Amino acid sequence: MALRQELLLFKFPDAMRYLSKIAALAMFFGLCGFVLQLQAQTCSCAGAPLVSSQSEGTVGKGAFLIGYTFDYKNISDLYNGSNELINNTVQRNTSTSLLELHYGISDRFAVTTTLSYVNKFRETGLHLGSSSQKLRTTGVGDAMLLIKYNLHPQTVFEQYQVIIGAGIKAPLGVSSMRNNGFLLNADMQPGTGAWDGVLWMYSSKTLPGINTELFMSNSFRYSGTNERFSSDDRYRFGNEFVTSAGAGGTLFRDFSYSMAVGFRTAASDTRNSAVMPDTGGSWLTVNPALITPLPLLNSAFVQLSGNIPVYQYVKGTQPTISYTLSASLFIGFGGEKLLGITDF
Amino acid sequence: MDIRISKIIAFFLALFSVQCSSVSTNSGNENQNEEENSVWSIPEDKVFIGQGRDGIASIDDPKFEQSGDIDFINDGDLITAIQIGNDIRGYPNVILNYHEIVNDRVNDVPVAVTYCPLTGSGLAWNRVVNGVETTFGVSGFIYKNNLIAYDRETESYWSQMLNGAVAGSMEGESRENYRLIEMTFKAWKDAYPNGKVLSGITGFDLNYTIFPYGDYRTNNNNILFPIEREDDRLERKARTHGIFYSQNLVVFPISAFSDEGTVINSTYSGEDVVVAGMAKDELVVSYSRSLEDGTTLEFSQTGEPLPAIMQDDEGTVWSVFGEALSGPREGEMLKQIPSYNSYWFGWVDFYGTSPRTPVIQIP
Repeated sequence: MALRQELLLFKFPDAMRYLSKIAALAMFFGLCGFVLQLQAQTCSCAGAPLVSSQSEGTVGKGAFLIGYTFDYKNISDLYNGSNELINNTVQRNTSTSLLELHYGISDRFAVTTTLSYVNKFRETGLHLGSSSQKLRTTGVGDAMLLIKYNLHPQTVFEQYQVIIGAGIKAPLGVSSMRNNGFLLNADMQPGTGAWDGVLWMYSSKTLPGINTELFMSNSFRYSGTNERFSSDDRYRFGNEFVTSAGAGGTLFRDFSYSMAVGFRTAASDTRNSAVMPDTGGSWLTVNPALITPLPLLNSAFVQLSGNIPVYQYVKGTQPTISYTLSASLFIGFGGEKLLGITDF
Repeated sequence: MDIRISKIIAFFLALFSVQCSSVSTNSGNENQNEEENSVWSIPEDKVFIGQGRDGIASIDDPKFEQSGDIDFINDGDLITAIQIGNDIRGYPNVILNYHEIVNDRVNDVPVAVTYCPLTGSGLAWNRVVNGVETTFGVSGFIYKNNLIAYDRETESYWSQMLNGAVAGSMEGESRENYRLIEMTFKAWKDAYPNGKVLSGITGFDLNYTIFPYGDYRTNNNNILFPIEREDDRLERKARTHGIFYSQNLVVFPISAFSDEGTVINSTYSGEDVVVAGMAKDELVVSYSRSLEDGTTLEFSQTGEPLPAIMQDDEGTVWSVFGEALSGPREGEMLKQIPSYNSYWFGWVDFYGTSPRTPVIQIP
């Protein structure tokens, strides 16, 4: 939502005025790249956070939007149910590069493809000091293809929109990565090895009087199964539901913001229909985001965002996300149709 | 698509694909990768990586409390107990479920109490490896759903249920065992009301009252890693006591013992053995009936309370640890035999259905 709003605001880039921003962004992406090279890492779930990292909205006919997101999840907290424990043994993090390609097939239909590159890191035996063991896996993660339909395009007179979508998550990522010949645990694999079905929905309502947009998004992933250990073995990651609702608007002339409350719940994994322990749970987060247009390029935007957990309930005892930081760069082509606003 | 779009897409793709798939490890210990890369005596494709080395933390500085001071264990929970000399200690399985290894010193003997919650098996190992006292840690490797430990002296990998090193410089070596038994916490308190019990204050902030593997103990379909061999004569998760003799294995379902106590005198391949157990206490022990003086004892139930579990034909009453509590042989110890508890599926997967089909003996 904020991204589209920013597209409206961005008209007259002034290169000199944005030099300091460019420098800051360069430093940020440089840091991201540095982290990417040095760390790699893990999430308590397998694969890439495709569903939870989907950007919002859609594009109009003939418009093309490309986005790159660097998503970093620190997974250092340890919870039993909703109780935080002191974790002095294991540290994890997962960084994911997401490449989104949005294309407007018609005024109402659009297609979104998301590719991922996953970088997982796990350090165990922290309590032993220098004897700790670090494990890093990297690789192309799974991909997602969504077909979106704009049920109610936003117009000047009806300033709300409802977009629905459906698609698949394709197991492009490796799910049988080995270390010295030994099969790694599922949570260290770049991919899930399973075809999943995805349902997606986004709606927003603009309140022009107060220069604010309300929005809500929902997505549901129905997990397929993979053959984790052998052809007759059926491992299934738990279904996942992600929702967020919030508001956004213009902060300064060149910045806009959004603030959302997110909720994610995941069922436990199963293996051959038996529930796997210490998998699944629910997470409530606050998701702030800051968006600014990028100078020198038309219709280019940068978004910095984060997820801060405020409540989590995990099944059993699990490492869980301490925080998420994301940096995105979007570049659009297609003029006003980029916004999916076709009826002025 | 104009050339500018093409360039931008090319830029993103280049940024995106800057790295290829890879996996790498790094450890503070230089021996680690070397040992992982060494030849394993077990099929490497059957070895899986779980939570990583020391991702499950062993307890290296155990503290103990008296049985009466322990308030986080239910009467029906199991406790794993050891006796060396006069030093008797209990290690609650609720703690072992989370740590799997306790590096302890019992009667001044360096001991690693190992317990695998996935196979329900416990063995106590001497901690002197290659002539050096060391500690054991949880390697993060899993073989047949069973713990693979590593020693911190040689970095060799030790299969618990095989009781031996399967990789590293100690490969092929086995470990000296100590008498380690299991019983309910109620039985332990009855037997040793002032006994020493591993404290729940372990230095790790974990909720020991919750079993970490869900319904694993009771759900026969819940197996975390592949099993190769199946034998449906017993349920997979049936708790059993196994005795090795020659190249064979006899297995006793613990629930098949009577609540009041059952004592079995048997001979396996020339080895005279006594097996005694009580189902309500989930306790089964086994010892040699042959004494160093050449005597072979015949055992029967005893009316004495725990820790007494049987008496012999000479009138000596023996404890669950095989110690003569009273009678003409008071103070003597029965000889250990290779035996420990495991879930049934563990025995089958490790020791096969042929030619070493585990013999099931119903008391």
